[in-house]
Amino acid sequence: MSFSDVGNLMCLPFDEIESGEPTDVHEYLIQAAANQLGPDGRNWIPVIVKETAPDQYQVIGNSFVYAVAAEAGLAEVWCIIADDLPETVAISRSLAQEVLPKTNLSIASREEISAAVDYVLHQPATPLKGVSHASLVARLDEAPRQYWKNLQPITKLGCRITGGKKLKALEEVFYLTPEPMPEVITDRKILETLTTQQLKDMAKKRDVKGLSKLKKADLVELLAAA
Amino acid sequence: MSLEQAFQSLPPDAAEAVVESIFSKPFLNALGFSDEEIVPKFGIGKWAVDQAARKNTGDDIFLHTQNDPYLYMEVKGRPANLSGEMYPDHRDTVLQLKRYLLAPSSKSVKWGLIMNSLHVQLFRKHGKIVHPVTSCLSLEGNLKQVVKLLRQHIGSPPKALTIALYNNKGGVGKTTTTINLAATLTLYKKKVLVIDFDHNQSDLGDALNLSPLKNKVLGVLKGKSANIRDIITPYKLEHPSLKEPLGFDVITADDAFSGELDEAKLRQIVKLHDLHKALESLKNDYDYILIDSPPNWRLFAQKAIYAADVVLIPARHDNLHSLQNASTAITQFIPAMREKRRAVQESGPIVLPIFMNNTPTRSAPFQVALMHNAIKKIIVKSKSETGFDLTHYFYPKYCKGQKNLDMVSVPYMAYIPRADFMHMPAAFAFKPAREQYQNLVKEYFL
Repeated sequence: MSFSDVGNLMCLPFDEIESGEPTDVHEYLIQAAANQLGPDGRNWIPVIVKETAPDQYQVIGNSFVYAVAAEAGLAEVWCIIADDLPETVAISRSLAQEVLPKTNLSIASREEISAAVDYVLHQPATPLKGVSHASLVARLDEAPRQYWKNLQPITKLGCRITGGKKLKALEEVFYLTPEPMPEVITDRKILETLTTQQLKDMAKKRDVKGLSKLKKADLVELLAAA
Repeated sequence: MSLEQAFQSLPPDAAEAVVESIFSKPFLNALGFSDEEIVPKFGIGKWAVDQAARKNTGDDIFLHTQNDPYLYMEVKGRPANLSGEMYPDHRDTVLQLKRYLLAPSSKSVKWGLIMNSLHVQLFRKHGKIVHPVTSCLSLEGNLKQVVKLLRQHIGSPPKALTIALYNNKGGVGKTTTTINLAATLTLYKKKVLVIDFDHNQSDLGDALNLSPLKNKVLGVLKGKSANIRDIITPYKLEHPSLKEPLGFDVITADDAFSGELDEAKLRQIVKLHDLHKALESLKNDYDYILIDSPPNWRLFAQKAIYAADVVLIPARHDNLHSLQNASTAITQFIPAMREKRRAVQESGPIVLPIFMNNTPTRSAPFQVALMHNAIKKIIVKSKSETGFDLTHYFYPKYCKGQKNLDMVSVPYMAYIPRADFMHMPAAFAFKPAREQYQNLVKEYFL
């Protein structure tokens, strides 16, 4: 028999639970739910807590329920005891919709990109007004995003997304785990995203002579042909 | 043990494991795969399909290398009822097979079988589409014929997927969608044939500046005098920036059918299945054959649906009748054609999720709510009247615990009608339009 409480549903005294990351939902929702719950009610949706010391707990998920319990003045709160791994905190907060889960743009499929972009475009105050969902998804899908080190190249896709507010909105849902650039690139699309200097360096490594006169388009042509 | 013996030795209520151990191998052997070409419990990501098979090539023994599988077979026990598509067991098994076939590691797979040693059904995978090829074939008493039929199919996989665009309401954008799908598929290096089967309007040819045929199609349909290849017109777009011209092939409408035609008379000389038969010889020349069918339920529309592997139904959010008619097509017309093809042991077309054409870019919430209400009524009505659940045809992403009302759609764009005046596909002429159709193509086919 295990003596650990991990995984158990327990009725804990409110004083033993300290708040974790506080919830940011509107006060009205907390007040109204607290009135419905009342001081003698039972919170059927439990708070997720971890044990920090004997008889000491901290909220890691469903902090909205905790806030409502505090407002209603419950003496005892129903809680599920979770372990204290960092992943547990992350998944609890994602499942309770307290944080926005992110998509890895380096390896995401077209469907995943489409859903993420759709989400951003449907936020009430989205800064991405006038951005076409279809264009952005098609161009992101075809871009060499496995090599991107940040989201800056999105501004070059010609989808009315400029650095600043608009790019920030996309940073909310996307993150990157870039692969290193391969030594030899012949894919025209990737070459075109590089600067002229980078292209010249690459050509030098391949012992190409007479680079100084060449323009970017010529360099791309040269490297793509190799 | 021969297949016949294996079949006889199975108990009448053989469970999945029994069918697997006694019947699966002889069955695949009979389909032309030797013992070294079969891998049981073949792993696909976190799942495993009951049997996978592929012909060996040289040193590449499938049993050893286990790469590039060609065929999957999902086996069930005899109590699971696979005798028809209306049974829940059949539905669940097909969903399972689809999941295996569409997994990223199953790229090389062309065929899927479901089998419980009493019935068997063959499915084909073409890009993202999985569609049944045969009806649910009963093995009892005609093992030999079924095996022969399956061998024929598996031995010669056709290259083309035949898609009919149909809605018996007019003006929903069948022709425009056909042209632009063809153009977009061409951009992905697919070989495409477009058939304008709306002889009354012949809009498709006109939109590409191709003139209609004169009294040629009838001969081809009758299959005697003319060869179908002779009536194909290539459409090509040449442009200085293109290294080689882009284009696809077209069979334009025929003037001879455009006037007032006595349908009863026509029915005496042509048959329902003649388009299907005429296309047979082209199935290895193209990746996609698109048929633009007329907006009614008369002979030519029936031929188009009969010949198709899949049917794509465009509708408009602001047109109630186009939604209602889509539901009629799904619940009545298309099943009628499937019935006809089942009689010859084929499966007939499946219906893809309905796609919304010309949706407004700026969302008008009340109009959208109006449409969703109308769709809700249609779904409830068809469920109570015919037992047909249309939810997934309207809302492909709707699933357990998730009320996702996203529909496949192409928004209204001034570019699309403007391209018509230029006599070229919008997908070739304008980048924003092209990207909309690229999304559509990726959503459905690639």
